[in-house]
Amino acid sequence: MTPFDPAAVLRAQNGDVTARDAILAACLPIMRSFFTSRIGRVPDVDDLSQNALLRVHRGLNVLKDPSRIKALAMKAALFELQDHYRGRYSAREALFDPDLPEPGSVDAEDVALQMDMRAALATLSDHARRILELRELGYPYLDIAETLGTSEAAVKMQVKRAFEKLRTSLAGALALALILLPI
Amino acid sequence: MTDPIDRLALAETPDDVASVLAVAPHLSGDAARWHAARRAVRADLARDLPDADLLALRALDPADLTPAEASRLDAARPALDAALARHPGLSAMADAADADARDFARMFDAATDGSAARETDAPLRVSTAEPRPAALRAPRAADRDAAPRRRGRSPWVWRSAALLGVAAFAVVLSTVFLRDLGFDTITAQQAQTVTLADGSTAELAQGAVLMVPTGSRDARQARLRAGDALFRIRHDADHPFSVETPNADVLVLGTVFAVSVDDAATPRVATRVTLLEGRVDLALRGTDAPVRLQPGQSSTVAALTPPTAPAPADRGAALAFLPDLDLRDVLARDAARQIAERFGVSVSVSDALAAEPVSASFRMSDGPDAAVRALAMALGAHATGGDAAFQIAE
Repeated sequence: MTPFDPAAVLRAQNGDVTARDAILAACLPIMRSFFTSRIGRVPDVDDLSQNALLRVHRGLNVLKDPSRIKALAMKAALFELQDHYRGRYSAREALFDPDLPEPGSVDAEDVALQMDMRAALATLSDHARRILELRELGYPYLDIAETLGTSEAAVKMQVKRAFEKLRTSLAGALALALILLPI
Repeated sequence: MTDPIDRLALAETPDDVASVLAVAPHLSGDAARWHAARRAVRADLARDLPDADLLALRALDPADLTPAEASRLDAARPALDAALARHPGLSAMADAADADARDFARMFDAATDGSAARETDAPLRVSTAEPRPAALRAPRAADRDAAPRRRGRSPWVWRSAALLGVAAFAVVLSTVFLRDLGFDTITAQQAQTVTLADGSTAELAQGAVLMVPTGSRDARQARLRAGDALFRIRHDADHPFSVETPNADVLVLGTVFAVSVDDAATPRVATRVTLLEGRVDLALRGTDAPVRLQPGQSSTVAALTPPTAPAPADRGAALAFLPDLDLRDVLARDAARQIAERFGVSVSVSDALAAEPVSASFRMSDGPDAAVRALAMALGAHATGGDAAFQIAE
């Protein structure tokens, strides 16, 4: 009998600590393999694995069908991976920290000098937008490359080109706005 | 890569940006516009798909979803489909989630086939209070002899290290469990009011996460893990009420105050407290150096720094998360009190009208003047005054 057999899962749900430990122990190498395949051999793998096990542990108590333990573990792993990327996504907000040296007088409000940022973004190709969005969703360049089946260098080149294109169009729009600005 | 423009385009951290601007300050405008563009991308993504968990739910077999998850996914399906069509990045992320689900299933199946060989691996303990499981005990000599020898068997030092790791993990898990034991967690799917065990209330903004005590836990406490909330605490001088956030402690007597926990910029979580009535003390978590707020003041605990000096509050901003007022069969004096509280004005009702029941809705965007006049109209009375003081009388 394996730790994931419905009878064993039922025992774990009914308070059998040994059965519960066996399930978590059997999940650990799966979690490690999965997260390593997703984000590489980095220290975060251990954190993600432990958090996912915690989700499995909590989920066991409310799992209706003991034969669905695989789904429970999968859900824990997928949610944990989402949280990992979301954490990187949130970190993007700190890119311009208030403590940083003043980046210039042209902030978001100034850019809104009648300039349509989104119109400028819309001039980018779908491929470039896909990369920019994935980047802002928290994916590192290497993960983007693997997701899109290309190289990291190619992804970075796309980002640089997008920056150049936006830089040109936004600078032009800003100049136009300043010209049209009533004195 | 030495081109500062390229470095700016690929900057990942504030330090990256700062180091580029240090050598190329003329790029500050470009940096700001690039930042604004990225912020616009993030804003669009957050607007069109506020709940990224939906992508994981979508990747799962529908039979594996709980009823709540299934209904959540069904409700969001039209918006989700529209977001996927609109954003090529989200579409790629959804494909990646599908691949994640397939790969995990494959890994799980492969591991299950060989799970018998793994049963001798050190198991994880999630409770230190239970008897030591057999799998953690050293195998008997007979067992060792009977067990097939595995290649690369770990020496005892590695086994000891593994056991120590397991024990440390168990301590972490136990700490988490003990900390949250006796609390229910409420995640507001929409604006809602929670009545606490002692009769105090908390108005939660959508997305706020509040933990409330259950059972034997002291009822005069709550934990706001994320989001905005307006607390109305019942006065009890002998039992102060405490609100704990990830980085701050708020100690109150009887009072009304708003708390905002901004955990989006992890790890720089910030707690802002705005006091409307009464008195509160705000301190960095676990310290004993609070600042005391007076009504109309606010203070912020950013990350692990002490509270800022109390300063006049932006009441409108602090309460912007509250839904419009929708009052049903309340006494006129209570309606006046709620309007006064929302808008930071004084509203008095004549004695003859104070106990009259009234039902009315007030939009926050209309301002206090319109709200007071609407209340007067509902009472068949007249409103006078303006600015910060209104009177309602027959």
